Amino acid sequence: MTETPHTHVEPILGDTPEQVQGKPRSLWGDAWEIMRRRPLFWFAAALLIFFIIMAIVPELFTTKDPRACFLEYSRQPPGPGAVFGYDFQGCDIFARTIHGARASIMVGIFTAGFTAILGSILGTIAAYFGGWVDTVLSRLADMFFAIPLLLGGIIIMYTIPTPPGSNYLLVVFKVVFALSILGWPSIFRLMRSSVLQTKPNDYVQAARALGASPMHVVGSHIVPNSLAPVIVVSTIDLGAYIATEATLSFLGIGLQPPTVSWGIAISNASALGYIRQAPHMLMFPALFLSLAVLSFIMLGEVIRDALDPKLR
Amino acid sequence: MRYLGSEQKEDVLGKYIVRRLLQMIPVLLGTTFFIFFLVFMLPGDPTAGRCGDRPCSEAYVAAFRAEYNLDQPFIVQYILYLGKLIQGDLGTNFYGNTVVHELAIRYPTTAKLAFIAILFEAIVGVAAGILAGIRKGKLADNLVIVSTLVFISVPVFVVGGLAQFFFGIKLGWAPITAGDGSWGQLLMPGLVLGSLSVAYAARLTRTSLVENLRADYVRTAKAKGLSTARTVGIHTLRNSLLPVVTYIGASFGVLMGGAIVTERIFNVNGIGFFLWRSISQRDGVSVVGAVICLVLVYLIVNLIVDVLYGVLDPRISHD
Amino acid sequence: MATNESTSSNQWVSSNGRLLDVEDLHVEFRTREGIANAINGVSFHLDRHETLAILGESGSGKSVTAQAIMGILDTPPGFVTGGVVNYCGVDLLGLKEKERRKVRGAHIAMIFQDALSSLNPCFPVGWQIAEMFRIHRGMTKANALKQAIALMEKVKIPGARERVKAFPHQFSGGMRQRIMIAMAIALDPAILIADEPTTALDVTVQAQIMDLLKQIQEESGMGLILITHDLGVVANVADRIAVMYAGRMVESAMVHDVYANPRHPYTIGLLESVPRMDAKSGGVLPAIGGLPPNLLAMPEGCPFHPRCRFAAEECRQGSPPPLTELDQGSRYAACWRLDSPEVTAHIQGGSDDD
Repeated sequence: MTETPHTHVEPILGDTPEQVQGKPRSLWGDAWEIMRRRPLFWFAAALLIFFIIMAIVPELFTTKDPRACFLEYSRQPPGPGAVFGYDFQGCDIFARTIHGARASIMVGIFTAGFTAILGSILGTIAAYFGGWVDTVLSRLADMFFAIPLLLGGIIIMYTIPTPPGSNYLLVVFKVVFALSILGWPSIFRLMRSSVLQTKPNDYVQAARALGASPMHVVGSHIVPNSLAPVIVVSTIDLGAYIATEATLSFLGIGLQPPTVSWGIAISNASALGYIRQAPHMLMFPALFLSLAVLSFIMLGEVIRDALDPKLR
Repeated sequence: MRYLGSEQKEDVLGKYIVRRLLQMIPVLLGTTFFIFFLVFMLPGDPTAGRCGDRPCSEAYVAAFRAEYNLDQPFIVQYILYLGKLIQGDLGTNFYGNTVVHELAIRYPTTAKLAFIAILFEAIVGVAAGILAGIRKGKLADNLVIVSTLVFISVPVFVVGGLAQFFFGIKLGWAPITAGDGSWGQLLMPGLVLGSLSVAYAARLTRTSLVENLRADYVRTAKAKGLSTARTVGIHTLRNSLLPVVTYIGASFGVLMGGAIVTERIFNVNGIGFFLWRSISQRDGVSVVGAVICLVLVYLIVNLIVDVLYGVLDPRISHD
Repeated sequence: MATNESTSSNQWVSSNGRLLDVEDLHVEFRTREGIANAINGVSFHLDRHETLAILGESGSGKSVTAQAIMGILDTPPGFVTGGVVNYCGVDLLGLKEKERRKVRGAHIAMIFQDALSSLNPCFPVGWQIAEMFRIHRGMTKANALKQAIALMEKVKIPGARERVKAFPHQFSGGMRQRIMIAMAIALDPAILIADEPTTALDVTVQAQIMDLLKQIQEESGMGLILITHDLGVVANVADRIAVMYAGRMVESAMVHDVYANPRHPYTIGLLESVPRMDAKSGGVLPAIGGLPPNLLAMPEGCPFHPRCRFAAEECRQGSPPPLTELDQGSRYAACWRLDSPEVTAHIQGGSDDD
């Protein structure tokens, strides 16, 4: 009558769906079975892949140069030749929107990646060692957690100056740095409580009693079992980071022209005169930005529901 | 506070408040230190970007170094800076205006805007969440889930631009800009500002209500012969709204970030607009001062919410 | 005694003299995986002053039966699909929800296993007890609270007057269950259903709670339905035992008859798995092998046959055995092999010859 001990979860990041399917009893195997039957999952995944391809090879979608602008076309509405119309400098909005994906997707993926890695490592250390290590790290996290993302982003972006003509990647990574510094505490807290919950489980105690080294216990028992919530939250946060980057660029403090980005495009289009005369300048970049954010948030939520079906 | 009968219980709540206040101190110190470090300790000229597009005059640099004691040792600089903050001195920008004065004349407008947004969040968000929670799995629930997902995904500055275009320009239902800061003119910007938080509040209310409706004490309430309205309205709602109260406090941070965007779009002359203008004029003293002020307000609001939570949840205030 | 018992609800007794008569109750759960037949034709009755113990493993349907009688099943997924719950001559299942609510709590009350989670954490205990008077009797807040204090004193909570404004988490487990009892007996119900009332408690506290229930029953004459899986609790308190298995009643008899002469193989197994003072020392306690059946995929024939050591060919096919009258109607059991020598060997201490 004894219940099977907690289902061991295999390391998941590298698993392809086929591998997961082979282990029908695992947490992720069950989750996959639930997810693949939900149209929402396929919709989110397709959208996401679409944006990632767009970020890597924008040339697949448009042959036009986003920086080739002709003032005589300024603010022309959509028509043959330019499906999304032209912006105030006479640049093709379709081409600029396609090329704008790269900056946003890069900021989102790198920020989510860094916060997940930093937060998970520090969270695991804090929970596993406890004592003063935990106290110091937790208070540190509290400090950064107390600063709202956008306000902190403004301060960091403002005080670390960007000389005109800086390398595009340098500016992208400055944004990534600013958001990561402010974003890691949420993952830290999640990972910490998750490890604290996993630590007292029998199989972890058994592994320790059998003389496994701390590194081994953490690496092969605690972390794989604590990662699920981190992956869910990181995916949802990724969308939020993309939105924050665009907001910073909108305020003129994130990415700078001549970088092509959705935030800058929306900022340019938001001047009152343009909204009145050329709303298409606002609509198309806004649509793409919103869809990109939506796809990550939706995917994160589908994964969360699949991992914890009773919440639905 | 209704059920705090004896003095002993009030004493417990008092201790809780004192404990929260004490826990707040390291966070305040750490946060101000972080901002101070960023502004003054990073390599490079701290006066860079403080005087518009041109470099600062030598006289201004000298005055700036003296004002922030930049020739003193590092820790002394921080303590003196903290002393100024406590006295409410956020610095003087190169136009010669104190940042506190600039903020003081603008805060009523931003407060009105935030008030509209929070009211929107607390009324519409919670109501939608309750509706969805009670009708879990039905049409109303799905509608709330989908519409909140849209509001979470569309950034506030896009919502603002679209609202301005459709309701302001196309339909003419609302003023396009809100120059004078009256309640009527601030209504649409306030709703735009609250749009993200309203979606989160609705979802949180729903999840929390659904969870609580499964609780054993709800079964007890039914077994007592109570009506569904009383079971949900009196027995479940209070528990379910506790996390929502905390969220509304936390959402204040999102609101203040959003205020910068909303006030820029609708030309509302509040703190956010001032911050945006200072960024574009490269007025660093004002940017840093305004952000510090907003962060402090955020921390204080959260402290108040924490205390409120303690009062509302008997499990905290009576232990 | 009869003169002391004149309370509103206790005067109600149906025409056949029975307080509660449940006939052929059916409950199903409609889940995504299919329909689970949780209750398949359960019948029993309860008289005044009587304690009926419903015994069974988890999943046997005993709690679902109680919830169906109370009308607090979670619908969906649970649906009552057939049967009659006759209380004072009225079929409760046929009542409108509004009428039914008047019965719930006032005439038929219920207490649950985990008193901490069953009490609302956000309201003082006195408020929760007083709510019964305010809702059903329309009493003022102050009067209702006075009644609540009196009830807390009745269930022997020390310092009731001071603790009436305390919250559930400030009480011990036993005290919390006393509060649940106070709330349930507030309106002097004719029937009290206690669903595993002592399972979550320490052994010493268990006895106190059972004594309290017994004492209250003696004073008021209410009928008590005690749902439990604990044979030890049953022996001292119950008058009659109904044993449930897989949503069916498999045996029903007076308590001493069940202990002395269990007739159904499942009851025999249950009794063997309990340590007894009179058993020879050194033996290993036998347990019933196997697991209760999956309600979504019930075995053909008698649902107990896969675990029954007496199972024969007739048990493995056809319909489940009906509840049959035994010993001139004093007891019932549902088994095809009631008269087979292996099964009857257990009558009159027959299990001793193993």
